[in-house]
Amino acid sequence: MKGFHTVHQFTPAIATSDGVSQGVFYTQQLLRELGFFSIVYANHIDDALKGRVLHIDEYHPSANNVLFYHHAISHKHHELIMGFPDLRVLIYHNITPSHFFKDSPHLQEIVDCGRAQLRTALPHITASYADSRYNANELVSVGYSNPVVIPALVDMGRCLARAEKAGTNCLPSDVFNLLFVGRIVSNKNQHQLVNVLYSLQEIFGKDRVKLHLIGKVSEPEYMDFINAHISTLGLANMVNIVGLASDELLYDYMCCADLFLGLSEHEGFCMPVLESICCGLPVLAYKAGGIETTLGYAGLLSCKASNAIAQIVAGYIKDPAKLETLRQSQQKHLQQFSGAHLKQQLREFLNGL
Amino acid sequence: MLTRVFSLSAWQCLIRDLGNLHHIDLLLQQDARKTEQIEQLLQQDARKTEQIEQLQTELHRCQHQLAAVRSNFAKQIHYEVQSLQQRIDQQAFDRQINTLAQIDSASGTDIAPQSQPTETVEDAPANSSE
Repeated sequence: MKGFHTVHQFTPAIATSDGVSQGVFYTQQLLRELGFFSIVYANHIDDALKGRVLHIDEYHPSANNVLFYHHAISHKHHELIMGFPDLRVLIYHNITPSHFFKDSPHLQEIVDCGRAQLRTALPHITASYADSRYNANELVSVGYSNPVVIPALVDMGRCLARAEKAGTNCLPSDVFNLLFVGRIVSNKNQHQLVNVLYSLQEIFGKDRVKLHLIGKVSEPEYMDFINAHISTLGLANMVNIVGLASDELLYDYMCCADLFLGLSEHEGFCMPVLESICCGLPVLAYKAGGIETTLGYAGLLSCKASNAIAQIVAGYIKDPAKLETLRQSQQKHLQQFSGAHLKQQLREFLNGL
Repeated sequence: MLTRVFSLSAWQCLIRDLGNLHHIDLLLQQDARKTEQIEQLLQQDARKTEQIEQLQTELHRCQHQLAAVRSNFAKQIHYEVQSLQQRIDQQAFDRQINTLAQIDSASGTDIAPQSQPTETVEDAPANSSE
């Protein structure tokens, strides 16, 4: 590792409930366990994290430091950091492509600029890694050499501990409980989950299946449409819109539900999928973006037709043994996200610098 | 005796008046029946008016419902088209990324190998119509 003892990290913004932020703290924990001195620097820092995270203006650049540079959307410190004498490692968490923001030119500009910064960073980056194979592929397309996949986003040990503490009877046991966790936004397609529920109702009748939607409303118009859609289809008693949930409540749902179903058009990684698997909840998800790395091949959906997906779900409802097989396959896949495995990957990566 | 009291013409008047009285009685009976019929018709009319009002209320409710369903259906189509368009754009984007990545891979750049699939991907049943 060429005598490096310090591996600091920079991320443009850090917050308590943000997925990438959790990954940054988890990486810090792994780095410290590997014996490195490691501090997190950011520009926008949540009040709750001040003290734990330092502002980038307080950073002392040094050729003796390794700096993990977490890249997502554009930010104003890019050029400053590219001028540091530190050995820079780029960590790529995916930038949602601009075609998902056709109604928002401002967001389009931010994400396009983020992609442009990914290119301009290239000559200044010594090595890179991504949290999914999908993201690593994008780095290669820009010209990055040999990016590895280190999905250090979710502290599985912490997830498993939370799952152990979670309640086990928060949902009715006489119905099949479908769960989706994600912001209420049109590219996550919660309305298609409602369509699947409608098809399931045609197979099993009313009150046999229930859909629970957890997540903050990011697109109020879309939320209004979902509510109207539920009402039009006569499914008001079969859909439970939870909204933004605390970690405790989230884990209660994940531990009590029967199946996580996701039909998003784009996911960079989708941490709720991994957290669900940690809770022993089987997952079916449409193979968008980085979902393949997170989920593996068991439970990956290749179609979007609601009647076809309802048939697949119905197969699992009718055959609990099949559902258990899916759960077990996904538990095996979980091993590659274990702390020990990630630490080993990180050690090898740092040794190669 | 009576012929001594009433003259012939008086008799004739009395008989005519009795006839008229009977006729008036018949007319009064007819009038009572007509009045009853009119009351029944008025009641029927009130019921019909009430029914029409109820139907009009129902019609307005259905029109509102239809407008809401139409609007919601239009929105559903909008979101389905948007979803499809995003999928098409994403596939084009992924294809571009893969092409560029393959070009770079050919010149020596590659991603660390991944484990091979152990399970099959869930495919749509053959009768999928969407």
